[in-house]
Amino acid sequence: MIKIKQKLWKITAILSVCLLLVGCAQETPDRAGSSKTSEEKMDVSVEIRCDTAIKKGLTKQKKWKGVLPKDGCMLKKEKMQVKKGSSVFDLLCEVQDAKGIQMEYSGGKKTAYIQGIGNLYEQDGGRWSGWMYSVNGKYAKVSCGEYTLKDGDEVQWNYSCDLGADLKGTDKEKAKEWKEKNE
Amino acid sequence: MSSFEELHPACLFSYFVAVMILFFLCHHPLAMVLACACALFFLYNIEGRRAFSWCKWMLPVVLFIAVVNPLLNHRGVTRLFKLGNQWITLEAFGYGLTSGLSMAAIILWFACYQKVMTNDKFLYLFGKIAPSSALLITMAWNYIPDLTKKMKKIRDSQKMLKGTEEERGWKQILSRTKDALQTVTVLLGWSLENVVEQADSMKARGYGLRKRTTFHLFRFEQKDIFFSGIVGVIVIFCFVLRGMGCMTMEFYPQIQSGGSKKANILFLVLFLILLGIPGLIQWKEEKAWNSYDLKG
Repeated sequence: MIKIKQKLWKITAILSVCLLLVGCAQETPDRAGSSKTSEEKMDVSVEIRCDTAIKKGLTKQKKWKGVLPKDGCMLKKEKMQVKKGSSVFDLLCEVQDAKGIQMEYSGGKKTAYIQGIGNLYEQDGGRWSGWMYSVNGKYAKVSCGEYTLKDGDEVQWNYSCDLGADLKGTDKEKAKEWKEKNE
Repeated sequence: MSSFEELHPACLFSYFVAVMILFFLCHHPLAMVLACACALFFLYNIEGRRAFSWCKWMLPVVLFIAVVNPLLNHRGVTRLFKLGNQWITLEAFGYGLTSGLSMAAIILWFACYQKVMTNDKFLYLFGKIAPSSALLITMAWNYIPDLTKKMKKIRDSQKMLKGTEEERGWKQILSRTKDALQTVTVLLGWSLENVVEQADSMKARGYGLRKRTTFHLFRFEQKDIFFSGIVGVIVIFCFVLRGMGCMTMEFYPQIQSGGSKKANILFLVLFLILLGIPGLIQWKEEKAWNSYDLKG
């Protein structure tokens, strides 16, 4: 019996370690790989806004008190220096560290999907809500981990409550089509 | 008043159903801690110190859930430390802890249920309304304990037949796997046969017929009316208070409990009385039993 118990403990220990590893498996940005070009930096700007969520009245709920900014501006337009070849996702990671803005993503580094920024998550503002990003006013159709930034790019993260139909410069036809298909 | 399990099955069953529903509604750490404590108190009064062996594996499970949740979920305002490139938050930890506790509470209360609501009581209640499903449910409940008992029997007989082995290394592993497979085969065959036999024998004894009487005759007595009256009032109060927003806790994005402080305390007191009833009845009974001087 004692032997079996010991084995059980070993197995549970190994299993829990595996689970822990799986839990932490969201890859950290590859620092070694980008260090070759790390000497060269570039200037980009970033802005994070959640006007649509404010307009929807989320701040009236008690639980959002002190979490959402009343003017809808989570981060004013800010100049940041990032390594050359950084993606939009790398920039957001940088913002998370430098400005202390909470952020959660799923997927790997290249396929990152931003679930929430500043504790405001997808679907907090209704079924069709979530975060979208634009570079120089244009909304890209790839994951933010795949979009490589150029010098002087202006990145804007916007919260949408309507698949992007309530934001400027988005593909409204696509949003409508998607909504009709999945309603 | 006599011991808790001597109450009418209908009373007991509805009591447990009401308690379980309350557990699902109240996702609050304090309520869950109370629930676990009351269940342990009840079990302690029934089986003595053995009740605490539950803690031995329940605590690690609760802690495990509490630790894993913040690793998978990074919501929350209060940051503790950074792991990888995401933050571990206090809110996620609190949520995990509460989930773990509520799971522990439900398991412990099911253990209490099993101690009190024996299969004959369950069949007495539902044998006429829904014969086949009642039988199926009781058989399913019995299945795992039954399997472990049979497993032990098979193991013992195999050991006796073969004696102790002296092989080592790969051969030992091979022969052990062989034995294990054989055990499983025998076990499956035996238990399937048993199930069929059981069902046939129940049928042969006229199970499910309208006029069939049960082994036990339970009478709805005054104590049952008394008990269900008190429990009913408390449960209704709890539901009303819960409807007013008491004992709710929102974890994301920040921890907030609903309801006013007074209402929350009232709820907790009622909750404690409701969950403490079985343990108290059992405790009183035990004391009365021990007070008879059996030696003299």
